[in-house]
Amino acid sequence: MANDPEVRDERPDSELVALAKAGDEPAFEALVKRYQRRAYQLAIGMVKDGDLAMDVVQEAFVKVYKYLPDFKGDASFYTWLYRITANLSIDARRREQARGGEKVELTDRLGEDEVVEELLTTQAEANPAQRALDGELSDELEAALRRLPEKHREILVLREVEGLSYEELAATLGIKKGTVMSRLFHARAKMQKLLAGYLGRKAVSS
Amino acid sequence: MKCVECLPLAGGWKDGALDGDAREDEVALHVASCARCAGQLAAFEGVAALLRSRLAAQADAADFSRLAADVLRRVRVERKEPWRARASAWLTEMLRYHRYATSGFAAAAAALAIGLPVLFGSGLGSGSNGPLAIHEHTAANDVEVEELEVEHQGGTVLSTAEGTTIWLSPEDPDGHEAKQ
Repeated sequence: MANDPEVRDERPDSELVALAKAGDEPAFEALVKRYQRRAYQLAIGMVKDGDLAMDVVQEAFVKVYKYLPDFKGDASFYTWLYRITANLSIDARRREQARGGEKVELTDRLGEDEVVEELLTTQAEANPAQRALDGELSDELEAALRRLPEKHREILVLREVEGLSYEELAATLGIKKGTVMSRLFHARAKMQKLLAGYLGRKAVSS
Repeated sequence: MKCVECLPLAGGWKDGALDGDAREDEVALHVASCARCAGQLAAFEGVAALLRSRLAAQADAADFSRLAADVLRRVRVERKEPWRARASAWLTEMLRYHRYATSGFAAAAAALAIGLPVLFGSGLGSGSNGPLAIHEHTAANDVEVEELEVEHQGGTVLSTAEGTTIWLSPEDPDGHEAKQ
């Protein structure tokens, strides 16, 4: 399962990468086992289901191996891996949408002022995570994530789950830092709106 | 600063993206004095925590027992036979989406039906294959192919409903057909 005890290889990434570049399969395997869970967590947040996420992760590691000779080590190994995984996830999701397998229902029709107004007229529970993540809420969260437009879903996962900085988000997504802030705001607001019925919202007088 | 100006920036401020920005202090002051914006920021963080929990739970439940082996198997193929790796990736992709797979298999079957006689007819085959019977209805010329026999390396016999037999000679560089 996820935390396989044999995953533990204490050697640093740089050493494993150097060995893998030289054709050492066990070193590459150690890298796969070290990062498979994180890569999967990123992919499952961005694509529609677990099988597809696993395919994306497998493809990401194959690409990593293929382009390992070109990896200069300017960024960390995981930074490189998540970029590849994120790009493959985005591609996979676009293919799904192009084939009509997934419908995105929310649009960007509201401006920032309207979004703020909508947020402030009712206010969500501050710490829903303190409650048990019961099955219904868990399913609802997954459904909400699926309904987010692609650009909002990817930025939300990369920021909230991967913890990318705004600079990293701008570089990964090919957008300006100012756009990162605006897009994240809309993504968070939409997510909250989608989960409104499950977050114990209370009316707030304006 | 009003709520409507503050809130779109507040997430960035909390994330540290406004550090050194002229609006940093304004946002900080507003959030400190506005329960609604402070509450909204906390709510955003609550949803983010939920998201992390949910995705972590999904990753915990995933089965990675075959992943490394599958990856290594593919990289070995990639290393030794890049063309095969590409074909395998294409086939995997095709199978995942049955709609495309259906048309893909139809195309592959059609290519096989056309390609086999050409392949054998041009001498690339082993020449020791037995008769291969196919039943194909072609709309273009309305001829039903009843049987295709690859007799030997030197030629191919095609039987149709009208009893027409076509022999494709590999020796003929122009690919001329002879009707019998």
